[in-house]
Amino acid sequence: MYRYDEFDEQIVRERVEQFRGQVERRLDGSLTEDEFKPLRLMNGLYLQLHAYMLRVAVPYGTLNSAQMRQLALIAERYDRGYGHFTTRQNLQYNWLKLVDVPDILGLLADVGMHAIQTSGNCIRNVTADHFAGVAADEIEDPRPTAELIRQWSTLHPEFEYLPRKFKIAVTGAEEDRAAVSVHDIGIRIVRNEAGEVGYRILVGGGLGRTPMVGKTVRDFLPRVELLDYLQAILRVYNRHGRRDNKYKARIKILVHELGAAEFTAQVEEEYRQLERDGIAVAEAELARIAQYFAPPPLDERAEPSDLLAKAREADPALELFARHNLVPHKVRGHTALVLSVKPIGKPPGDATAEQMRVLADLAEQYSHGEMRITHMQNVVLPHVRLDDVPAIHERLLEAGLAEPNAALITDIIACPGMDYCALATARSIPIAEDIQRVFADPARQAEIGKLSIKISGCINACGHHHVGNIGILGLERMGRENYQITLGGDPGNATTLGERLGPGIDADAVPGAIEAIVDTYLELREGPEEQFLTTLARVGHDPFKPALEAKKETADASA
Amino acid sequence: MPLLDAKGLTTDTTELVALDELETARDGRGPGDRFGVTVPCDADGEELARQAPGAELIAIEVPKTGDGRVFSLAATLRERGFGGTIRAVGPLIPDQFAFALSCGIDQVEISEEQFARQPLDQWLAAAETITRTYVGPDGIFARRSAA
Ligand code: HEM
Ligand code: SF4
Repeated sequence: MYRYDEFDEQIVRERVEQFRGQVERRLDGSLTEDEFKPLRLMNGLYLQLHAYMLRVAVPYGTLNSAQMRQLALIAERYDRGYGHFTTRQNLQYNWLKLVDVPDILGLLADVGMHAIQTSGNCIRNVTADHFAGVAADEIEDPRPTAELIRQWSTLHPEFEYLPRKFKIAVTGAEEDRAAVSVHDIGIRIVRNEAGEVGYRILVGGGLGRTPMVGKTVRDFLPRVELLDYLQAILRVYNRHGRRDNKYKARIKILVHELGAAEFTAQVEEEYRQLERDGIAVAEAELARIAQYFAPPPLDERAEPSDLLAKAREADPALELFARHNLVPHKVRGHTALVLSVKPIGKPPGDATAEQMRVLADLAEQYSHGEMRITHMQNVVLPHVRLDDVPAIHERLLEAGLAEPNAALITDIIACPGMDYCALATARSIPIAEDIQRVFADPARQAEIGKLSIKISGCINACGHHHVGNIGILGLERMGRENYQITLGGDPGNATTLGERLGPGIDADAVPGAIEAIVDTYLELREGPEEQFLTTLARVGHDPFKPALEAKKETADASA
Repeated sequence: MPLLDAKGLTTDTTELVALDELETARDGRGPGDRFGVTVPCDADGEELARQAPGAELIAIEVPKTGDGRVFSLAATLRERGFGGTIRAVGPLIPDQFAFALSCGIDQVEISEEQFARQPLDQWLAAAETITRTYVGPDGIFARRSAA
């Protein structure tokens, strides 16, 4: 893992003191609320329905045990004993007091963490594949690249006041698990014909009210040119991105309005003119940073593991868990173990301080002290021996973290919705809970297989409903919550946005409608191997429409 | 209106004219006369560097605190070789002062009202709270490679 040197450390410390000063100047009237707001946002602080929310960066989702314990301590001391893992690999506290925030930032700095640029109209926390350094389909670990971008973009003097927020994601694998094509900039580490490693650059993807898939502006960028090329893109955006309407201010709108070809031409022109001072930096820094991400010393071991196989036979719960929550590791005899932080009937992504400590202990004992936060709001122990899985499973059961549902239908992503968010038009967490209850039976989940449900509580799409196999968007119609269902979304390589199935339905009709959709799928699929998206592509939306209609009638009848 | 640079309050008697008047103004100038232009912050830095090579000052109008175009415009002007003074005119706040200076802006002109709320010491302190960021000639990247 990357370790801060004296310079990184200094910037984070000074940033804490800077924010302390900013709060003081707000309180003594030197700064107006309008002036203060962007400053607090750039430190991850939102004013929510009930309290202040602090979004802590977990850069590229990698976390060590000491950091996790500190997050637990903060949850206990300043929040209500828990934190919320988000879809952008961050952790949020929902119940803070403004006066405590500088001290909390100080505690974070003690373990090399911060909330810098987790909000505001600047370059946000960079996200990456949560199986970085683990997955067999990887060309290169994306994290050194993500860390280089983190440093470059931190307090970049030119790009702190962009037209709108700016999100960058990096993947180094063949399968895109970082959803790079729905980011402002998506970076894929690729190999060219000569076998050199470089980057494919996508620009202008995003979800929200105008969902768009990113366009490729460069097929192959030599790696040392990365920072300068980003500089060119950001400069074109900073100068020409719309500032008259916040809903049209994202770079995706600029790319759309100019057209991908014209946008690319402007970037290339800017790039040609630019003083290329980032090349030397990228060369030296990538090598320096990459050392920190050297894989931990893992010895190859027997695979499959006899010990695990025997334990699976003896324990059906472990069998189910092992079937769904273990991901193959590059190194024989190891696995990346996915822990669902979505226990049935609880808000997705919420973890208590106690659970965080259990995770920290397990990581220390079994995973070289390392954890990952996924954009599925789960936690990964990335370097686990197969032999150790039974022991870990036992500890997870005690902590309530052994839900065997990774990537299954109850592994739902839901934004905070009406329960926490000031912008919400509908609830989303309770909807997720209702659906989880319908599919609570593990055998039924296993029968259905991989299927993603994603829920957002308003058009801003924090729950990524557009890229859910089944997407649910909560709106408000005539004072009532109304849910639109989309089918066919896919965040991966073949990024696809879901299409609406029909008119919106009431909250209490949603679980039944989802059940009917799933039943239709089970009926129509050509076998258990055929996943939902494949069936849908084959049969189209029509066979699923009655699901919605029937439920609508019942809802009308009961209204 | 109060004019600040990295050292404190300052004065500058450069006469500001419209871009298309610059040449005429410069033709008739006496010894010691300085001329500059005022431009909006959506001006094209590239063209401006070409059109106003003789200007001693470029004053960029900033409509809103959060309007970051001024930073890119100043940085572009510097990269394209503009060596005169760059001034940002508008409601920048002390917390943006360091960014402004790093992007090549020399002076900031703010309103009396704002200066009353945010006196000089706040500007000078804010410019120094973060010792260094990553980019730039004295930035962390440069420091590391020098080490
Ligand atoms: C709690 C209060 C929250 C508020 C007020 C909020 C607000 C917003 C808004 C206004 C947008 C749309 C911005 C735009 O398209 O320009 C947005 C997008 C987004 N939010 Fe949130 N959000 C909140 C919580 C969360 C949480 C908890 C998550 C993660 C679980 C999250 C993840 C995202 C993501 C990934 C996007 C990006 C969608 C895109 O790419 O356009 N947000 N949020
Ligand atoms: S999608 Fe809407 S309701 Fe949900 S967190 Fe985002 S802004 Fe709030």
